[in-house]
Amino acid sequence: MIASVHAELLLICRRLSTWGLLALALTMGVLFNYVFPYVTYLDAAAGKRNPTDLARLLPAALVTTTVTTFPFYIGTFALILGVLLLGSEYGWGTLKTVLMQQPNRLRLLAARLIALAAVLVVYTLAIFAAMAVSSAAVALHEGANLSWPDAFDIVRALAAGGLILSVWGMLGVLLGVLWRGTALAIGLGILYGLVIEGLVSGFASSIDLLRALAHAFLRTNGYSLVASLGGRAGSVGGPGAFSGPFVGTWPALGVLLAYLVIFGAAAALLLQRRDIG
Amino acid sequence: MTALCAIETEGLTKRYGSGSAAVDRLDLHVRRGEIHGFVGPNGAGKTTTLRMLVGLARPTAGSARVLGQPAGSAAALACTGAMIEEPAFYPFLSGRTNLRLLAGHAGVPMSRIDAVLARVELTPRGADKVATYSTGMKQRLALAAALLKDPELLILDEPTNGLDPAGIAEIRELVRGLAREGRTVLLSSHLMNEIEQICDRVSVIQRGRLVTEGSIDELRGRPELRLRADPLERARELVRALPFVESLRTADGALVLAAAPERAAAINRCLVRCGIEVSELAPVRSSLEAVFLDLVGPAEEAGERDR
Repeated sequence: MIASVHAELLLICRRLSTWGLLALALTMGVLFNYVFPYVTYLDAAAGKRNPTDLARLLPAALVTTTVTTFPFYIGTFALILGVLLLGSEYGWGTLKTVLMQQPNRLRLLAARLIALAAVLVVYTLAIFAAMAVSSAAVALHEGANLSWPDAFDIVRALAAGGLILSVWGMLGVLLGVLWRGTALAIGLGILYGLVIEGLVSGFASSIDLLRALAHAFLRTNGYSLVASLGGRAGSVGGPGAFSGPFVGTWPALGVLLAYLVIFGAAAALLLQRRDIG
Repeated sequence: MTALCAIETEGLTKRYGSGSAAVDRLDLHVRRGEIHGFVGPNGAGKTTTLRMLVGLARPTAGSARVLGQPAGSAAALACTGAMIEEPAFYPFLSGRTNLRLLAGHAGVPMSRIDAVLARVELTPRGADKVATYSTGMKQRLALAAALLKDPELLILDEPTNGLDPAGIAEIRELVRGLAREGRTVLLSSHLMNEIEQICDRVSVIQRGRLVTEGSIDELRGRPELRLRADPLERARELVRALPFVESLRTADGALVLAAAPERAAAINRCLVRCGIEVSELAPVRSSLEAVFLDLVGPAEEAGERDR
């Protein structure tokens, strides 16, 4: 098993897409969370600048500012990474090459998921690090104090971010196995995450049935989890904006963990039962 | 039979949906230590059978045992090297790194990588990305991957597909060499010439069913004698009277005699003594291709090839 994990780590680390997606996620994170808001703040007339806008960009608000991005667009990167992990194998035909060496499909999936988890830890840390550097740069430019959040809050935020990425990544793995490819799996995953959940959530306030359904959504539970960490749910604009409904912290945590298990089990079942083309 | 067989299937069947069976109650026997040809028209079910033997596809019915173990099991694959369909590797990795990854999964020492690369003469290009490899190099890399576990059994699906004549000759020699080391080889191929040259026994499959199984000699039948003479009708009467000529037929303007080739001198003497001019008296034997076309039908073979 250890040799299989080493092999999978080697593979995922050598994939250009792994680091290309991270670079894009970091760029978007820094641009949308720090560069654009700070430029907007600076562009405002001196007397009309909102101190709250600046406070969100300083190191003290690192956790709040950063975790909000995880259930929003950073999760999408994990989804794509998850799809590529197995979906691309069907296109290349490499899954059969590997399975002829390692016929235990569940062992192969487990090794691959461990490698994915390791990369998602790197993603989570890198995103926090990039945001931290950005907030420090703003603070230095403004001559403000470098006052960081509690270590405990940072660890909780890292854990929440990692869990949200893991759930999206696992959904990607499931879609990749389900569709035995990448294009449709990524397309449907993004459509579901950014459009369908958003649209249904939009009607949730007026239709009871949809409200109950929306409580089980990935975004609902992801945003609810980060809201408990002080995340500014609903304040981020664009297609991934979220304005509720929200659930409690522990139910959100439970639902996300349940999704992680369900997606993983479903992917394992499909991989185990279906023929490899 | 089981102890003698490296591969044994009983009633092996694979259906996709409610359509006709891709493999239909196939009973296949591959003896240990032989090179066994597996031939049939396109769509006959060869690759589906091989995929079931290595566990990539699950049978709908029947059973298959590989080296005494259930087909596709870890125990069976631990001693089996396979190359199914076109070689598939990670294009962004080098040949060597691809093998490193596969060796990790197979649990074989990394020292095997250099050995198998050398075996397929790919060492000089081992560090290059697979995306830059030619078809022949990818085929050789696939063979290297199949050899990683130093397997007792090799299952090779069209290993010379897309290769030029020199590449085909190289692979043929390599397969022969592997068999000389005592390995069993199951070789699927369209090229009857290739099968005829390197295989000990052959199974012919058509529409998922086994048509025949036997040694090359058994399939090609006994050698005959072809006789061209003038006048032909007089020659026919004379040879028909000879006690060692078992039967006689006409083909392509010549007489074809079912008689041992060593009787040729006696037949010639008899004909010349009676004033018959003999222009040809030579042993002939059906090629495997002719036998194959007789078995599966030329129309189907041509039609399948056109698909």
